[in-house]
Amino acid sequence: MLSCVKLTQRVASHPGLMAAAGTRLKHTLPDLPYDYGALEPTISAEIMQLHHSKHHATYVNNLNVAEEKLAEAQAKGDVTTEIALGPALKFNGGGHLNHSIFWTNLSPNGGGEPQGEVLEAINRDFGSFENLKKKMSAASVAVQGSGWGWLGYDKENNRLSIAACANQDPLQATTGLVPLLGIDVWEHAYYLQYKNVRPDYVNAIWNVVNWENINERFLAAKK
Amino acid sequence: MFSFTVGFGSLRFRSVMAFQRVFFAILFVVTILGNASAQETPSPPSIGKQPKWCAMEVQEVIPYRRRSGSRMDCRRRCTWNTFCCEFNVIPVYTTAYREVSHLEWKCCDDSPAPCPYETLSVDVPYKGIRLFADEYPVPPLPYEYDALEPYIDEKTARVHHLGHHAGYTRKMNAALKKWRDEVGPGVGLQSNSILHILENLDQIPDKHRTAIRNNGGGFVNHAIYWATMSPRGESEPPRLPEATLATEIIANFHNFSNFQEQFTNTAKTLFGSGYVWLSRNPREQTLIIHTTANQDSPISTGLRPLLVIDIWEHAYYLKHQNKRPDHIQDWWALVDWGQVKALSDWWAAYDAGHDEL
Repeated sequence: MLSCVKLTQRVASHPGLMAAAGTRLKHTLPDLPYDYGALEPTISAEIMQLHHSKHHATYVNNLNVAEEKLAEAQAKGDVTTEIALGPALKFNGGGHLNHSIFWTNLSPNGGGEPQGEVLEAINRDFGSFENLKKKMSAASVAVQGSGWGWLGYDKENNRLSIAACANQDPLQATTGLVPLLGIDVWEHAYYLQYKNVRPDYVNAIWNVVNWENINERFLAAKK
Repeated sequence: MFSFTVGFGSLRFRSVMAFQRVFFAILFVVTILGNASAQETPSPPSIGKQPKWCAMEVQEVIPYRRRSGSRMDCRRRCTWNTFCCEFNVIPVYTTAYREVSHLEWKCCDDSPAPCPYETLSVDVPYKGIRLFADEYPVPPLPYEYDALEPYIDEKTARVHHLGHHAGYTRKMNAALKKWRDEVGPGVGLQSNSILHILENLDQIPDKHRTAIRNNGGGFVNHAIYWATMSPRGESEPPRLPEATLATEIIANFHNFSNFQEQFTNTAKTLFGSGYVWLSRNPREQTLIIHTTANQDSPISTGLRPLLVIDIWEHAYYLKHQNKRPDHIQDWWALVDWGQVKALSDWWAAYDAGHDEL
C-alpha cells in the first residue's frame, strides 16, 4: 500500500516531472522502515534515533542549503563559488545517499545467510559467505577515522567487490561500484553502545543485515 | 676526533723523544681545533647512535595522615553537688603508608650511546616522544580521570585514554618493532625517537609507513591534547595566555577573541575525523590555525604544535552526542595556557638541539 508520502516521493523523484513543473527538488529525510528500537540488541534505540533524526537529518538539511547556494551561483555565473561548494555537496550529498542505502540494508528480520542470486555471486567471487563476512569485516574495521565499508557490484567485470571509502565519499561516484551493502563505521554509528570496540559492532551487524534488500539491489544493478 | 698511528721504525731514543714531543704537540693542537669546530655547530641529535631509554614503573611508599578513629573527651561541668560530663568527640589521626607507582625513563642496559641523564620522570605526557625507546608506555594523565568534570566527563576521559590512546600506543609499538626487527639496529631512521620518525615520514619504508603514521600520530596527538588541558575550579576567572604568547597571538590574529573565533569555526566545520591545531611555523616564526585529518600530525609538515582540540567523535560523543559546538565550548574552559607556553618552550629547546628535557 502506497502512503501519500510515498506517492509524493515517487512523483517527486521522477526527474522529468519535476523539471517540467519548474520546481527544484528538495531532499527529505526518508522514514526508517522500522522502529528505532527494532534493531536491538545489535544497535540500540538511542543510537538509531540520534543517527537517523540528527546525523542523517543534518546531511539532508545541509545538502539542501548547498544546492540552493549552487543554484544561486549558477544563475550568477559565479564559477568560483560553484567550485567552492564542491566539498559541501560531496559531504552532505554522500551522507544522504549513504545513509538512505544503509537504513534499507538493515532489518529486524535480517541476519542469517544470503539468499537469491546474490548468494551465487558471493560463492563465486569469495568462495563462501564466511569468507565475504571475514574480508568485509576486516576492511570495515581497518577504515582510518570515519568512513564506510562496502560490498559493491562491478558492472564492467560482472563481479562483487569489497571497498572502503573515507568520510561520506559515495561509493559509486568514487569507485564506480554499485552499492549493495554498506557498513557505517563513523564512531557515531556505534560509540554509545560499543565505545571504542569497533570490531564487536562490525561482527554484530551481520545479525541484522537484510539479504532481501541486498539481493534486490544486486538484481537491479545487473540490468 | 682524529687518531693517528705512526711507526717509529729504528730511530734512536733522543730523536724518538723529540719526535714524540712534536707529535703530541700536533695532536694537542688538532684536538683543540676539532673540539672548537664541534662546539660551533652542535651535532644534531638525529645523526649517529641514539641513547636508548626504557620506561620503568617505580614504586614509592609515601606517608599520609589517615583518621583511625575517635576518642571521647570528657569536660567536667560540675556544680558543687553533681558530677557531669560534657562529651566531645575528638578525631584521632595516624600516619599510614601507601604504595604509589609512577613512570620513569631509565637509560637501557643495551643503549647504543650514553644517556645524558640517569633517569627522567614522565611528568608531562609529550616529553617521552623525543626519546628513542623500544617500547613507549601510555603516558599517564597529569590529573585524575574525573578531574576534568564537568567539562569532560570521567567516562569519556577513561575510554579515551585507556581505550583509544592506549590502543594507538600498543599498535605503534608493534609497528615500530616490526620495522626494527626487519631492518635491524644501526643508525637508520628506525633507531630513533618517534618524534624524529614522524618528522621524516617519507623515509619510512612503504609497507610500514601507514601503520606508523596513524598509530604514531595517535600516540603523539593525544599526548599533546591531554597535556594542554587542566582541571578547572568552580569560580575560576577566564583563562588567558600569558604575556609573550599573548603578544604572539595578537600579532598573528589581531586579538585574542578573533583567534578564539577562528579556531572555533575551524573546529565546527572540520569534516570527518581530525584535529584543529594552533601551531608555530618555526621557519617563519608565525602562529597558524590549521587542521589535520585522522591521526596526521603537524610534526610531519615541519610545524611545532602548541594547542590542539580532538574533533574525533570519540572525544565527545558519550556526553554531547552529535552536538560538537558544545564540546568545543567545554574544551575552551579546560585549556591551560601555562602548559601551552611550556610546550612552546620545549619545542624551542628541541629545535636548538639542547639535551635538556
